Amino acid sequence: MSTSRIPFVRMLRCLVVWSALTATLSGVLGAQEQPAASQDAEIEKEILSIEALKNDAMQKGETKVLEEIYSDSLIFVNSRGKLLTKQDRVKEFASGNVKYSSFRQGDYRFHLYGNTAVVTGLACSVVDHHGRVNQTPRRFTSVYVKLAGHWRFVAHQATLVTDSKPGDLQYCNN
Amino acid sequence: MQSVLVVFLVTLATHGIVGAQKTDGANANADIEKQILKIDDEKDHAMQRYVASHGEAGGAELDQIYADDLVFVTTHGALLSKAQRMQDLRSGNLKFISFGRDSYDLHVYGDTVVMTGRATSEVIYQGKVNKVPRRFTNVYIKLGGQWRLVAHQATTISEQ
Repeated sequence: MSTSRIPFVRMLRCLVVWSALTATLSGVLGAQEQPAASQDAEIEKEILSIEALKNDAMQKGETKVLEEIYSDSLIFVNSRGKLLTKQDRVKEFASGNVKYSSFRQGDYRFHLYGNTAVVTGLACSVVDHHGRVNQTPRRFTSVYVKLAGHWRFVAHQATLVTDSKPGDLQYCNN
Repeated sequence: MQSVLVVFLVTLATHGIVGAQKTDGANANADIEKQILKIDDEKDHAMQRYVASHGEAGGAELDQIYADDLVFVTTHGALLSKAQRMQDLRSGNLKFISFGRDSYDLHVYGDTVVMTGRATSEVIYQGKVNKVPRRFTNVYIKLGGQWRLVAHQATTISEQ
């Protein structure tokens, strides 16, 4: 190899090393970003599937399923502002005091904080609750916490939507 | 006889360790509950000052306590962000005639605390007096070493 070609070869080597480093770094950074986003998506998917199970069990009055999903220390505030424990809530379904003539719940929005998920949404089901029919849309907040490797429903509160801006209840009106 | 004594001592020591762990856990939760009640109290004081001063005072404290992605559901079922809640407070739409809260119940899950309670404040909101008690849930999460309010929802109590 002639001496005049040495700088060219060095430059070529530098370019190859630089490209390899850039590619590696991009790969590492990309890999770091991807899992966080996909982890969140995975958690949302997991919680939505639990919500689906819970909603199905509520309609069918399957208290065993609800007992599995509800945390033992569940705090449940219904749309009348009544505070219920896990036992109180399960008893409502076991006694047949909660009956749905139509069921619609969605417009979920997630806020994830590690092992805690705060989920807001809208319920527009028509429900007979202890002999009183309620068809006013309710806004709810549910809290899930991962306990011993399982997502458990630890808190829920519902509020009747009596004041809304155009578009707020689009989910219920569609 | 010796083996009986060893078993007795081991059992005694194990009970002591387990007992101490339980006490430590209970103490830690009691300490967290105390911290949350203090922060919630600070939040309420800051809120009252913020409302009374139309946003001139108390804003820095509220900004520290409210998480940036706070979800706030009012007794009318409106979903507000942190910015919308702050705007609502300083707008002059809300006035406190009296302020009261009681019946607290706290559940600690590591760095997450779910708190419920009853608000008995008398308020004027958008010109209407509201003195009906409300049940609320607050969710606090430790973020960057600080307890922050990430969610709040209030519901008018129409059934005890």
